[in-house]
This record gives sequence, structure tokens and C-alpha cells, in this order.
Amino acid sequence: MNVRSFTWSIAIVVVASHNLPSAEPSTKSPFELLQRHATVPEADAVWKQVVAADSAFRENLEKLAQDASPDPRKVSQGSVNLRQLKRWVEWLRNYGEPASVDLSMRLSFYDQTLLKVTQQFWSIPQSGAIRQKVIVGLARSEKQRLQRVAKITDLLQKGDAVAAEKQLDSLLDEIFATAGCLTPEEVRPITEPINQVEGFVRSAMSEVRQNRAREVFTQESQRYVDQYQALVGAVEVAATQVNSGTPLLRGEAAVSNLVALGGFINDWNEVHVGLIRAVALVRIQSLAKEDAWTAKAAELSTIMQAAIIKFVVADVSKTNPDQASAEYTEILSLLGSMVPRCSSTTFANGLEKPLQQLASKAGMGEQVRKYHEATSDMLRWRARVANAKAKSQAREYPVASSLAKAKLSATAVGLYDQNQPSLPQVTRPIPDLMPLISTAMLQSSVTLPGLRRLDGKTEIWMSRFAENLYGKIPVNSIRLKSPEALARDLLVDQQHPPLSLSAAIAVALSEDGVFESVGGSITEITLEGAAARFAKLPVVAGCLIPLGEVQPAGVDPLSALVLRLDIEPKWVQHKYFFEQF
Amino acid sequence: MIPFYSLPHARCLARQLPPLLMLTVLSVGCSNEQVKQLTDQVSKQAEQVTKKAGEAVQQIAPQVQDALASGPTGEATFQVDSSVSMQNAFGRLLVLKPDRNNVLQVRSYEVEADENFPSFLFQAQTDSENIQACVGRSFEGQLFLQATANGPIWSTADADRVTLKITDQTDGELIAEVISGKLENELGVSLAVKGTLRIAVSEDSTEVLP
Repeated sequence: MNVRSFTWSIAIVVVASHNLPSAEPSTKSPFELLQRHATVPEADAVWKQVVAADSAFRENLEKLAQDASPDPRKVSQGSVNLRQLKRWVEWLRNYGEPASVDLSMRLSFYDQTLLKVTQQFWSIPQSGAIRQKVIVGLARSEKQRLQRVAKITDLLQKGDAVAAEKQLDSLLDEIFATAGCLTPEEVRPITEPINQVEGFVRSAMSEVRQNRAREVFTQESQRYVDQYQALVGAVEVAATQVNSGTPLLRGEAAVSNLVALGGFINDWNEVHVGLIRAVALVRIQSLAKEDAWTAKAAELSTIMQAAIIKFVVADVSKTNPDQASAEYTEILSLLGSMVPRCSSTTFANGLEKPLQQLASKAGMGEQVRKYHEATSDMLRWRARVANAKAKSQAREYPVASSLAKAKLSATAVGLYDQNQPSLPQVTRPIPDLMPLISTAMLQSSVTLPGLRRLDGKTEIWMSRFAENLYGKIPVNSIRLKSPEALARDLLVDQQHPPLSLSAAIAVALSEDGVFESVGGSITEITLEGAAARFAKLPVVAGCLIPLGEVQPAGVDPLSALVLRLDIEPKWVQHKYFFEQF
Repeated sequence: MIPFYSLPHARCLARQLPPLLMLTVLSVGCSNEQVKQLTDQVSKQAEQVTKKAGEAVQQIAPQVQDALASGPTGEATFQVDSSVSMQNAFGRLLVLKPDRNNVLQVRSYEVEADENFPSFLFQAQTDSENIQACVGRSFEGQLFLQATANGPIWSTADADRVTLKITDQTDGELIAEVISGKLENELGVSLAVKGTLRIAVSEDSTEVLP
């Protein structure tokens, strides 16, 4: 990042950030900082402080860099501000915030730029006299400074590193408020008596903050694991109760088996997100062997699937024949949404038998069998056609992660490291990378796998996380005609619900906005810190990773990035249809 | 494993024999005790007969299979970009009324597991109550056609329909024609489709499954 490109970029950003306020670095706002996860609550305030300080510092530096005879007070103030920024960024690193990696690189650039500005000041004729005056002033306060250093040392010896740090920082800020414009040779005698104690204070406080993070991460991840264990326990108890005919409770209220089942399915998604967050935290500080943690998601999936099957079996045996028909269609609707969220095929198979029994109980056995005959082959051919149509787009719409790896590789843009060609990382300051990413990828046509509308009231779709990349489809951009034709083929309307699990799944996939893949052009690229993405994953975005899985190992060290592509969709591949816009 | 199409025979034998024996019992006057003995005897005999019938069915199953193999299996030829012929065409009417429309299903295989290529599926919703009632009628539905396993797939676009007319029936087969309609392939090429079919009427397999 040279001064010229930096200047140019700032002009763009000032305009862009006015129009499109965004809190993440993207092709439209390359100077924003990576988001924090703020698992350590203090990190939130520090991050906000850094956001404000970074942007103010950049603006001042920009002005100073254009000045042929820089004001020495401003040069010194710049040096104080930069030192503050460096300290805070170190705090963020201690708190496991990925923004710290990018910031460290930005600060090296600021360092170089400020040095150039300072050198510019040294080159003006009156510089020597001004610096001499500063040196004389500082010499007068030397005794007082040494007393303060002694006090800081004393505090440190008493174990009060926090107070020592506060006093040290204020001492250094005072010194550099005038000494910031001096040459390194001129500064050295002034800071020499402070260097040693500064080293001790910094390393003590780094340990304090890392320990604090370790403590919070351990507590938080334990909390998520407790939630996991609570759910496993509750599901096991409920399965026994259903078997013995004991009424189920949700909270304090007695609920039907289906309501209880629906509740457990929601809880599963929440616990799934909790485990993803816990794994992210465990990885940031290598708190534990992560294998044991990642295994929990798979375990939970096995337990939940078995429990759901148990529930359905027990429910079937307890349902009165006169309620069986309503129960059958209701349970199909619940499972139609649920089954596609698990990647397991044995799950659906395990549900078939109890569902058949329920249908027989309702006197619908024959009707259901014929319905299945009338729809299953239609679905099979529809899936075949949808697949073929999507495949025919592969040339024009390459898989996004493959395109990113090729176009942003170590030798091209450098977003990927040569040693880890599949992992996008902060290899240079993000504002420096962004224009290159823009040129290489914006407007490209790509395919993204596994698209799902976020839960809740949002109209936002997200694609499944794959190779540190996912896509986002903006509100209101997917309006389809095909679900109607699919419903007609399945002989389904409002009065006539699907009668087989596969048809219920097909209908639920349309209703829930779930697609095998999406093709479209990239309208914006945003970078996220992988660790923050997963450590603060919102519950509604749990679909980024299928139930039963967590983020793959090695995708979220502090330097790792996640690319989020905003996509203007051109087509979607539903499991049972393909539609172009 | 007994092929599913041999099972109706087994059921018929089992169903028909015991009532014949019951008639014999009832035509002779006797005490309650005697009736009980006789009833026991009869049910034992019935068991044996049923068992024997089962064994007999197992023995004749291969013959039935052979007989069916040489029976009508239909055939179909479609013209889209080129002509595609299939040695089999099976049709059935799936009755879902009164709740929903019935479904006429015609395809180049009897069960999905037997599918070979070239392969097709025609499916239409109808109010026809049985397969005989389909003769002389036209059906608007969807057609899927694939000549080779990895080759292009021609299918009816959602907004379109292919019309299949069943013109006649002869020896357990229906004679049909695709009289109008368009198919598109995965590249979006859309062409008119024509076809001639002899459709072997298959029992609704859902009715003969155990």
C-alpha cells in the first residue's frame, strides 16, 4: 500500500461509506475493520475504540502526508495516537479477535507513512531548532520521569500490573506528545530508562488479558456444552416418557408429543450453533483437544435422530385411530422440514416404518401406498432433470470457492497463502487486498452449493459454508413459479397435504426456500474473520453448517478469513426443479 | 422371495379351499363336541392346504415368470431430435379418488429398480376411474425421456403439456399416440414430440403387494 494508492482509496471510501454504511470490510467499503466476536465483553469497547481511532488516525495521517512542512505538534500527536492504537490492537489479539491480525498489518503501513511524514519534518530548515527546544524541555522533566518509572516498577513488584500499565501508558503518551517529532537517536536517551519496565509491564498485561480470555472462553464453551448435555438428557427422558405414556412437559405446560418434538428440533438447532461457537473458542486458544468437541455435534445428531424416531414410534402406538389421520399429516409436515437439515439418509429410512403404521392406523394405508406410487417416480425424474439443468450451467457458472482459489491465489492476488492454497488469510492489509479482489471477482458468474432461507422473518438466503466461503442472496430476489407446478404434480393443495415423507420433504423444501445450488453474479464481496464468524454465529444462521457437523478443522485460525459473496441470482436448483430468472 | 405377481394366485387358493371343506361339515347333522372336533380337523386341514398352496406357488413361480416374460410388455417409439424406441411400455391407473385426481402412469419399466435406458415416464392426472375407461380419451401430462444413462434428458416444461391419446385396446395392451406437445432438454432446446405406443396394462402393483 503506497501513499498514493492509499490516498486514492481514502477518497473512494469517504464517498462509499457515506452512501452505504457498512461495518465490515467489503469491496464497497474496504477500510472497515473485521468484526469482533467480543466473547470477552471488554473486547467490544476496545474494538469500538479502535474503529474510531483508526479512522481518525487515517484521516489525520492523510492530511499530514500532503503537507510539505508538517506541523511538529501534529507529527508528535500522530505518534502518540499510533502508539495507542498499537496497544489496543495488542489487547484485541490477547482477546482472540481476528481484527487484530489485519490491524497489525495496517499499523505497519501507518508506521512507514508516519516515518515519511516525520522525515519530511526533519528536512525543513526550522526543524533542528524546534527539536532542540523539545529536547531541552524533556531534560527538565527527567527527574520527575524517573520517579514515575520507579513507582511503576514498584506497582509491578506488588503485582498490580493493571495500575502499572495505566501509569506507564500515560507517561509514554506525555513523552511522545512532544518527543514524537524527534529522530530515533534523539529519543533513545529519553526512553532508555523506561524500556525494561515497559517490557515487563507489557508481558504481564498480555498474560493477564490472555488469561482473562481463556477464562471467559472456557466458561462460554462450557456453557454451550452444558446446553448440549441438557438437551441430550431432556430428549432421553422424554423418549422414555413417551414410551410409558407419561405426559410431556415443555417448561411447565403439558404438551402433545408433536409439540414436544417440534420444541426439541428447535433446541437442536440452538445447541448446534452453540457447539459451533464453542469449537471456535476452543480453537482460538487451543483450550482443549478439539476432536472431542467436534465429535459432540455428530453425537448429538445421532442421539437426536434416534430420539425423533423413538418419538414417532411411541406416538404412533399411543395415537387413537380417530386422530391418526390428522396426526399423520401433521407429523409429515414437521418431519418434511426437519429431515433435509440432517445430512443422514438413514434418518428418513428409520421414519418410514412408523409412518406407514400410523397411516394404517388411520385407515389410509392403501391411499398412502398409491399416493407414493403416483408421486415417487415423478420426483425421481424431476430430480434428474433439475440436476442435468444445473450441470449444464457448470461451465458458465464455476463453483465459487474454486474460482476464488484460482483468481485470488498466492500468485494472483495473494489472499491465499502459498502453503495453504485453500485457506483465505490476511496476508496484507485488507484495504490493500480489496481493490485486487474487486477486479478479480466482482461481476463473475458463480455457483454456490446448498442455499437456504434463514429462519425467522428474514427474506435472506445463505449458501452452505464451503472452503471458507459462503454466499448471501439479498431480500426479495427469489420469486419462483415452479413450486406451484411441483405441488400440482404431487397432487397437493391447501386442502390436500402431501401423504408421503418424500412428498412432504419436496413441499417443505419449497416452503422453506431450500435449494441444492444457486447461480448468479457477484455484486459485493465482504471479508469476515473466520474466528469471529463462528464464535458469534447467530442462531438463524445455523444453516451455514449442516446439523451434525461443525466448521471443518483448520478453517478458523486468527488470520483466517471467510469470503461472503453477495449474489444476484440468475437461477436456482431446487431438489425437484430448476428455475431461471 | 416370491415375485409379487405370483401372490394373488396364492391368496386365491388359500381363500377358496377352506369354505369348500366347511360346506361338507355343515351338511351333516352332529353334536357340539363333534362339531368342535371337526372344526379343529378342518382348520388343521386348511392350514395344510394353505401351506401346500404356498409351496405350489413357489414351485410354479418360475413358470409364471416365464409366462409373463413372454406376455405383452408393450413398446414405445418417440421422435424428438431423433427417434428413440423402447421394448417395454407399462401403464397403470392409480386411483386416488375421491380425495385427489387419479393418475395415469405409463413408463418403460414396471418397477423403478428395473429401469434401463432408453427410458421414459408419462404421467397425467385424470378423472378416469379405470384403465378401460381410458380408451378413446386424451391425457395431458408430462413426459420425461432419456435415451442413455448419461445422455440428455427431454422433459415437459412446467407451463407445457404433452397430449397422449389412447386410441384402442387389444390383447391386454392399449394403443396410444403422443399427438401433440413439446419437450425441452437441459440446454433449453425445445422441440415438438411425437410418439406411438403399445402399452401393456400392468396390475396396480400396490394392490398385489403383501
